[in-house]
Amino acid sequence: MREPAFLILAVLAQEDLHGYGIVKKVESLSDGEVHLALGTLYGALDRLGEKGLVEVAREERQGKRLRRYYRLTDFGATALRQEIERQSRVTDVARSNLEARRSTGPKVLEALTPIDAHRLEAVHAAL
Amino acid sequence: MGVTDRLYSLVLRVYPRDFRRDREDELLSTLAEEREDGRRRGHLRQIVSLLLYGGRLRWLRGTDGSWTATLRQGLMWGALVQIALNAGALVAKLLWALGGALLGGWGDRFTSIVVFELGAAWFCLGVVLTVCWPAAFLLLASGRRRSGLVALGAAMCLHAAQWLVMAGRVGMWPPDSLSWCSGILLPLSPLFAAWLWPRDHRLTVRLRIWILSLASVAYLLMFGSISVGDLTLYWVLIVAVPLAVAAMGLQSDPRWALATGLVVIDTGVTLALTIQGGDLHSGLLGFVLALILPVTVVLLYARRRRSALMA
Repeated sequence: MREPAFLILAVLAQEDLHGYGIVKKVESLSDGEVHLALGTLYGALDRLGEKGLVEVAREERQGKRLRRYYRLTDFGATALRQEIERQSRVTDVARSNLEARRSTGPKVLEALTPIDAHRLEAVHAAL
Repeated sequence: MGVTDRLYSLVLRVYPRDFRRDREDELLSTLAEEREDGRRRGHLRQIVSLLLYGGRLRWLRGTDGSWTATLRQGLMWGALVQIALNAGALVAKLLWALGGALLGGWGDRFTSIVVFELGAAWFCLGVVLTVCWPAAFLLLASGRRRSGLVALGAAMCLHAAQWLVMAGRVGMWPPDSLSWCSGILLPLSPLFAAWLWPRDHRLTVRLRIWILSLASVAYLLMFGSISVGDLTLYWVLIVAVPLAVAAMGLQSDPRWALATGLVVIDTGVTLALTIQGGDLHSGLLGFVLALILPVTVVLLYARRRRSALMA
């Protein structure tokens, strides 16, 4: 699942939202890093709709203005849960790999000259 | 409606009509809300994003997931590119001939017209094919099945059309009266078929096969390619692909048949100009035909479009 689709499902899990509502919530969820352009937003919504992950909840029309609210389907909620679990597993593996890397640090230091080891320890501490 | 809304409405013209009917108000409302919220950045980004998604929808339109429908969509795109190339060549040729009439001729007119048109058409086809074949394989290899199949269909159609151009242009036509008639009537036939054919009536498979077979034989007879001898079957195969596109287009949407008529109409103008001595100055008939054909196409298309809109 691509990032825009994941973020859209994540914000729709909380409440039904219209197009601009989704844009704002996604921006807020990603700490302002992801700003969905309209082509990306509606492309993702159409694909998610085709897969049955989201559906139109209701429409509000005022003159030419049209707000169409989208909601997460039960199937979408299941898919989101699976994606979260998959990402959690990947995160866990990445974290354990990083910890294993740290634990092998001193063995590498033993093989270095005292000056190099001192420099490497300084870099480690800075990180 | 403000200037920005007009601009976005113009951008949304890229989208298929049914999509616009359903979603245009929603998209414009979302854009308006974003502007009203003080987010004035990123007009260009929005436009590019909308154009890309609209292009994708157009590119994959008519693909329902089956590989045949997807490949057919690609063949349609190939035909459309071929139509655009032929339309460009037609305009260039008319300008060339008109310039010749005003300036008193271009010297060896026949050679000028043919070489000019062939050079431009082959160059453009070469560029498109250079992009299309690798794109098809890359897309298929990367798992983008639908886009890959569409690109493959377009490449196949264009590749076949490349040889069709050769069959029709390189000294193959005999300039006698019979060929002259067929040279005009044959290109016009799919056009009139599309015009007369009831919109809600679909062709049967058998009738499509008949159209395909008769059109292939007529084309080969007209251009004398049957005399190529051992290569006859080869030419039949080469000619069959674009005609299949035409037949399928006739079946699915009369507008496609109308457009496919444009693919071959250019040949009729070439013949008219060639037989009349190569430019518009030396013969009134050539001038009339060269002018009437594109005008007829435009008028028929406009009429068809108007009746479709009214329906």
